[in-house]
Amino acid sequence: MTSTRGAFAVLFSFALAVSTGLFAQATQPKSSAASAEVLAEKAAAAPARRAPAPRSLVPLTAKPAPASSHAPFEAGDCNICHQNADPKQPGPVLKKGPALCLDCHEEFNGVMKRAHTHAPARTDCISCHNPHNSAFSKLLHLEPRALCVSCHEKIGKLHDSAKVPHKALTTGKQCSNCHNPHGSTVEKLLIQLPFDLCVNCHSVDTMADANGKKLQNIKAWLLDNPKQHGPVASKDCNDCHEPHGGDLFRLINQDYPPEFYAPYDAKNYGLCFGCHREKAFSTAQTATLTSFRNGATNLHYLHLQQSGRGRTCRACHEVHAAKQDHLIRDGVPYGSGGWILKLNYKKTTTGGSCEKTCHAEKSYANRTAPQQ
Amino acid sequence: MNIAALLVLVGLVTVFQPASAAHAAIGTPVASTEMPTLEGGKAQVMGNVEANVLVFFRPDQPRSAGALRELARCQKDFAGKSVRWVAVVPSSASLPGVMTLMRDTSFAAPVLLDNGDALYGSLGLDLHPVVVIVGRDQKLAAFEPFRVLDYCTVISARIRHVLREISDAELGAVLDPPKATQGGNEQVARRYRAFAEVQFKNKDYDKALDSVRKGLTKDPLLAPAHALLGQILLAQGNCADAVPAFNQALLLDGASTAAREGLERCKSAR
Repeated sequence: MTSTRGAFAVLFSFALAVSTGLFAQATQPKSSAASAEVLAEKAAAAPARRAPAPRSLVPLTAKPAPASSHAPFEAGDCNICHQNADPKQPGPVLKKGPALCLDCHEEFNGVMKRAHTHAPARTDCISCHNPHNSAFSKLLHLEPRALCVSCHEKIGKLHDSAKVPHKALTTGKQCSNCHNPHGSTVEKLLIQLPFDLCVNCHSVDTMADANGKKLQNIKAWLLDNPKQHGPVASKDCNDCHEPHGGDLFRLINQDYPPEFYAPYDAKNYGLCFGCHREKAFSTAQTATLTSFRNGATNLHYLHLQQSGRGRTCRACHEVHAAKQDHLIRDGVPYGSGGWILKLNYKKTTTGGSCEKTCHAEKSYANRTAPQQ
Repeated sequence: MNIAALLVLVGLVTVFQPASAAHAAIGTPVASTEMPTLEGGKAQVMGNVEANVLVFFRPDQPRSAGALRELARCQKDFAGKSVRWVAVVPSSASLPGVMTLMRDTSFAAPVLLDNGDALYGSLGLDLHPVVVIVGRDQKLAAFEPFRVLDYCTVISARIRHVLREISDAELGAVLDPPKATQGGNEQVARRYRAFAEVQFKNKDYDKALDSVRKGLTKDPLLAPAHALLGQILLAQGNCADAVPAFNQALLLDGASTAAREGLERCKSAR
C-alpha cells in the first residue's frame, strides 16, 4: 500500500481541488433572529463566511500514519472513482461533484432532501473531505472546528474573543457536537432543536462555569418543575443564550443583572424585554398589561420601582421552569447561609397571594371569580 | 396499544407540553370586535375564514422585525386559502415606526390599533411578537411566540393544522423534528455492498468478496449484500457456498431477483 500512496503522492503533488465559491451565496437560510446582538458587533468586521479554500487532495504518505483512509484508496481500487485502475495514471474521476460519492454513500441522497443542507455538501464533497486519506477523522482536511471556521470566520472570531467561550466548540466533535455539516431538518444545520442538544451535556450535577460556580442540571430541574418558560417549552435555548460564546454570564445574549438585587433600570433587562413589554413594569396603573395587579394597581411596578431596593426578575421568578404558574419560584434565597425564604404563593380564583414571607400575607384580586 | 402508537402518544405529549401560562387557554372564545386601523378606518379583528392569524408586534423591537420578515415569507404559501392575516399593535406604539416596519419587512396585513392593549390583555399575552390563530369557531386555536429557528416553518405548520391540512402527528414532527443523523452500521454495510458491487463488475472477485463480507458483519440482515455474496461466489464457480447466500437473501427479501436468478443458474450448473 505504501507504493500506491507514494504513486498517488507524486501524481497529485500539483493537484488542487479548486472550489468555485458559488456556494458561498446559495447557502443556509438567512438568520431570522435578533439574538446575539451583544456579540455581533465584535465580529462585525469579519465576513459571515468565506468560500471554501482550495485544498490539496494529495494522499498522505505512510508516515505519519493517516487517521482515516478511504476504503477504495486503501484497497488500491483507483477505478472505483477514477477511469483507470493504475495508481500511477488513474485519469480523471468518473463523475463530477457529489454524484460520484453518492454512488456508495447513498444515505446522503436522503440527507440532501432535508429542509436545510450545507452548500458545500450539495456541490462538492471535497471542500471538506480528502477522498484519499487524512490526518484527521472522517477524511476531513482539518480538525472540525478549524475546517468550519476557515469559512465561518465570524463564528471563530466570536468564540476566540468571548469572555465566556462555550466549551462545546472545543471538546468532543467540536462544531459537529451540535451541527450536522451535511443536512438537517432544523435551521442552522442543528442536529436537533437546541434544547435537545444542550441537555446532552447540561444534564449532570457536576458541571461548573469557569469560576467554579455550579451550573444547573437542566434535565433534572425540568423533571422536577413542570411549568416551563416559553423558550424552554419551544426547545429554543438560543432565544436567550448565545451558543458559541459571549461576554455575558451564562452565555446570555442580552443584558441582565448578575446580582440578585439591583435598582430598576430598563436597559439592564434587555434579555427579558427582548420579548416582554417594559411598559408592563413601568406603568403604575393598568388593567391589561399584567395579571399581577390588585385591581388596576400594577404589582410588578410596585415591587420593582422602589428607590434603592429594586429586585431583579429572578427574585420572584425562575428562569427555566418552576412548579407554579408564571414561573413563580418556591422561595427566595436569603442571606449567605443558603436559607430559602418561602414565597408561599397561592393562585386564587380572583388573583393570588403570598404569605408570611418578605412581608405579612398580601393578596391581590383583579378578576371576577368564575361562576360555579 | 402497540409500541409505535405509544411512541407517537409520548411524542405528542412532549410536543404539546404547555409553557407556563403565557396566554389564554386554547379553546378560549375570542370576541371579534371592531378596531381602528393604521390607515384611519375601522376593521373587524376576525374574518369569516378558517384561520384568523393575528400577529401582535411592536415597532421598537428587533424580534418583531425578524418575525415579520419570516411571516412575509410564510404568507405566500397561503395565498388563495381561507386565511386572514391581521397585524395588531398597541395604540400607544409609534405609528410611523409601525409603517416603516411593515414596509421594510414586506409583511402584508391590515394593522389594527389595540386601544389600551384591550385585545392583548384579554388574551392574557405578556410578550411580543406573538402569533395567535383563531379558528372559524372564533376560539383560540394556537399561540406561537417568536422563535429563533424555523419560525416560518412552525407558523405555517400551525396554520395548516388549523386548516386541517396536516395531522397532529405531522404538526408534532415540525415542532419537534427528528434527530438529523446519518450513518451507523446499516449505512456502512450498504457502502461496503456498493463498493463490492463495483469490484465485482471489475471482476476483482476476491476483493469484492472481502468487501461484501465486511458489509455483512455490519448488517447481517442486508438482503442485497447476501445476494451479491452469492453472485460473487457463483462467479468463482462456488455454487456450494453461493446457494445458502442466495437462500438467505430470499429469506430476507422474497422479491430479490438477483438471488432468484443466481439460484436458477446454480441449479442449471449442476
